[in-house]
Amino acid sequence: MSNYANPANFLRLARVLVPLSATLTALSLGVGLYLAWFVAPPDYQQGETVRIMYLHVPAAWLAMLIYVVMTAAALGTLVWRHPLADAAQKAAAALGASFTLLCLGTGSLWGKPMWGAWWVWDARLTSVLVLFLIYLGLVALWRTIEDPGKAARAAAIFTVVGAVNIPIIKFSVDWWNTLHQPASVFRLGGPAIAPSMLWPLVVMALAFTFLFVTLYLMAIRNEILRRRLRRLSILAAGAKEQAPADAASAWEAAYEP
Amino acid sequence: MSHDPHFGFVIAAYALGFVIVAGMIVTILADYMRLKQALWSLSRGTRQDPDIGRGDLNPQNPDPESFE
Repeated sequence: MSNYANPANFLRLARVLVPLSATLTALSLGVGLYLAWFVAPPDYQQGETVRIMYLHVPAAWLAMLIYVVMTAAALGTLVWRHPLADAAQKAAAALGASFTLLCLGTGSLWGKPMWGAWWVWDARLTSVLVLFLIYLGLVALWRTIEDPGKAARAAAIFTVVGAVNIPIIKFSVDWWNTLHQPASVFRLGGPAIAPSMLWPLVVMALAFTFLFVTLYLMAIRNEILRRRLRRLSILAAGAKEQAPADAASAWEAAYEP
Repeated sequence: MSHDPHFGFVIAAYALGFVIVAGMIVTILADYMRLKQALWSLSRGTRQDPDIGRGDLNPQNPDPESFE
């Protein structure tokens, strides 16, 4: 496993895994959408609006899962100072923001007909909005700090501190009186929803997970290539100016081709 | 199905999902193509353009991942 925590080995691995993961995404998404639209029954209270759940819930799970992945990568940066850990963390941030936006957008489109409001300052909604802002803050942090090593450490610390929001999101419906319904799948006593609705939800969650894995591998590959490009550009500029070849930082040396 | 008074919200939610997922895919693929092109230009020893993604993509482009 540790062999693949190396940029060159990761690129070789991604070349095999990306097509495989993309195929699994297409298959599971096709089956999931079919189940969600043509097999799952309408809810006796929500009617057809329940079909929004098959997008909203997997997006919400992914929004939190991606942050957990980023926190693990941040620890890799802070504890082991592994350069690939920062690339893995940075690659996940925009994906996490996108899935969180999808969660918030579909939740709003469900909330208007069911609650009569596009948005309420409920504990669950607010904590997910905070998660979205954290993702945006991290993306901005990487863009504003020019030195890659400093940016990696600052983003890692920010990510680890922001991880406190994940249990708040998860347990917000238990700790506070919220308009948002309590957990109905991951709960003591088993899922509270009918199997005819649970299975489409599980398949869609699986499809979203495969989608994330595919896009994540591609985004990490891009991040490695970006650092390799930066390293080569600095070396090329240094050679042109008869400057010492070690102009690039030690952090970037890990991406040397 | 379409007789539901809130069906428009369902359609809007799935349209939003399509736009966001397609946006992620297109952004990542475009970034990949831009980086490949920039690495190829650099490996050919061409002058580094600040706007590195502007060059035409060469069909004979060597894979930058095989630089190792």
